[in-house]
Amino acid sequence: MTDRDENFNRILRQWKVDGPSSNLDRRVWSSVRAEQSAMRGKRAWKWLPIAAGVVLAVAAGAIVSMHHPSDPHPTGAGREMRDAKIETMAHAEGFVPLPRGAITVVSRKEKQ
Amino acid sequence: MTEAAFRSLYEQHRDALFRFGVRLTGSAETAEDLTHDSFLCLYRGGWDQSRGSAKTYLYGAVRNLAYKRHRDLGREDSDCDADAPVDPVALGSLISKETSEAVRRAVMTLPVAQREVLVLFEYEDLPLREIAQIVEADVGAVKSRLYRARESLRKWLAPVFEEATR
Repeated sequence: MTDRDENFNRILRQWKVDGPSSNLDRRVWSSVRAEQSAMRGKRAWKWLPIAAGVVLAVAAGAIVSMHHPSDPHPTGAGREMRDAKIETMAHAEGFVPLPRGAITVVSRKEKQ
Repeated sequence: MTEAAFRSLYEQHRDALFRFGVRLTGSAETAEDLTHDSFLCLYRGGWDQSRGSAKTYLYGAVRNLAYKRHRDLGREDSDCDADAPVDPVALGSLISKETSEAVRRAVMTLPVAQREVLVLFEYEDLPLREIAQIVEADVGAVKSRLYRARESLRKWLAPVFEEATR
């Protein structure tokens, strides 16, 4: 660099510029916050149809299970309940009620 | 971009970008707008890492936004090949008052294509290769604009040079 260039640069650099005001920081950070919340909003809207679909599917399943007949081949607790019912019916087979007046009440003393 | 990475870049380049904006447009208010908008573009993911550094991207954003603003306001810049008109009498009287203001006026009279390379080279100390990236021109064109800008300034600021060499 020549002397003339040094002189030139020295004169050019006499044009000083102050830094930005604190207002710039406030503006930038407020815009960044707004941008972040807009991004969150966009993400929420993206998942909304999926969430709505899941809720509808669960609701539809609940409605169907309420109105549909029970499973003809239950497992677990359902099967036990059905077996218990059959057992009761098996023990009741052949039961014939006594005719009216055929019952005689005998006291313990009379029995002895 | 994470907030931490953005904060780091913001703190690193804020002042330099603002200074560049002021020297490019001559207005602190406009420079704040340009700095704000450039950082917002960066945050929105406008920076493609494979195409250069964040610094180059930000300077380029300030420059492009300044051009856009200028176009939107309906102002036409003079062709970079032609010297902008300057009134040496008015400049001479200004020089006797304040060198800083004289330099500012002289730089602002440069065509914008010369002004931007001069500011990036003389004030921001950027290498020619980076300046070429920012102004989207080849290094030869940058050198040529820089040469013409310096010659114009030497001519317009001759009274200041005389004062300085006395």
